Amino acid sequence: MELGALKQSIFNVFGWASVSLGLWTLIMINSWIIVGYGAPFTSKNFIILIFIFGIIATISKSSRSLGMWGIYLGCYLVLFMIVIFFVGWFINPFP
Amino acid sequence: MDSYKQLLQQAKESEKGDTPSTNVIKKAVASSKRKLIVTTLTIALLIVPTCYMLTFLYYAFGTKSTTLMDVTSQTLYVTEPNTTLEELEFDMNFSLFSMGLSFEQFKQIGDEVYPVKHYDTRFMLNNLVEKNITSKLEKSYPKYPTETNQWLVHPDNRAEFNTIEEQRKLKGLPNETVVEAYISLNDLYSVDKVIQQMPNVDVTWAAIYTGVEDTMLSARGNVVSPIGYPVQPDQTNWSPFKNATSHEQTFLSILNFLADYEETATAVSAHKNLDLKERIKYLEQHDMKTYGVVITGPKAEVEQLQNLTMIKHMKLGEVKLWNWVR
Repeated sequence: MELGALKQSIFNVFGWASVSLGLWTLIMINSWIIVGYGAPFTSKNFIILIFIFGIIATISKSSRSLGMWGIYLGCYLVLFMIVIFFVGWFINPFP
Repeated sequence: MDSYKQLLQQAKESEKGDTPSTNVIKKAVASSKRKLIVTTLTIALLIVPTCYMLTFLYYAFGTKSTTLMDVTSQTLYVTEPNTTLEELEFDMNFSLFSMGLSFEQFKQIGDEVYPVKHYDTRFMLNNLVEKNITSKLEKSYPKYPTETNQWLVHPDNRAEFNTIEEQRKLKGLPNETVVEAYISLNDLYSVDKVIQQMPNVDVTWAAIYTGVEDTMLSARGNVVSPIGYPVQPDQTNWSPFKNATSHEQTFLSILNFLADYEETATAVSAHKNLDLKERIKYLEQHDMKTYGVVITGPKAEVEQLQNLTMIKHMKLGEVKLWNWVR
């Protein structure tokens, strides 16, 4: 019983870690855009971690929603980076 | 009765056993609160990046950023006498629903090209909302154009400046200087003829008669300003006149392009009105003739031009130390 509760709380930690990392990256992107420096290319490692933690969290039923949440945030960040890189290259022809 | 009481007792006990403890309820409430806060935070944090992506998509597939840049640069080529722009001097930046465009404007004075103005512009989607110009010019063109305060004057129009005073200023300059001068002619001439008459200086820009310059008023009664094109071959990569076989044709195609974005072009230029459709119609039906040109060269050579009968007015522009190495 104790081992089950421990397992559950570990999966929850991974779920929250995934969501927190996603939110932290979003905060960084927001502040860069609002301050006026344009959006930075977020660290690839951050996004990989968001996905890894999210996938681990989806294993347990109790933390599945958190894991999915983290994965959605990761997907959004990947989409954001693709748009900023490819469309940005298209609209700004200068190096 | 006993069995009934017993049954009631059992039911009460089982109900008591099913009710979650206070701790469990507290945990559930805290967890749902936490989730609500984080959901709200997530939605709030998604707003700005989503708007930023929409801005990028607008400038890629709506009004293109490069189109706005072309409108800006080509407007300056045809409305600002003696102007060139450098491709790598353009700086673009994007923020929420807006685009900033900064660049340097150059002028040929003597044999060299000097930076003369720095433009900081901002477009909110496709509307110009901010234009800051930092000028290094010693002589600024009139900021608020009227019918008579232009430096290039049609033969039938009146000039506000005094040509004799300008000639005296020119005479007083040392011979080791190069100057830029705005020459107004006594009639309409072809640009080639004007160039032939001034072989020892560079004719950099020609103001073209578009049917409205004799009064500087369009058919709708709007005050207009001179438009024209650079005369010298331009090898700048950015220039629309690079490798152009006919500058006249390039000029006309620029006007046609700008006619679709006239509001933006007028806002970018120092002109009050462009009235391009009326002027394009005139140019399509008539040959292109000039009534005024901008020249640059050694002071002595410009001074000698005063003997030409075709010159009616002369306004002195920028002056620099000797750089004429031909």
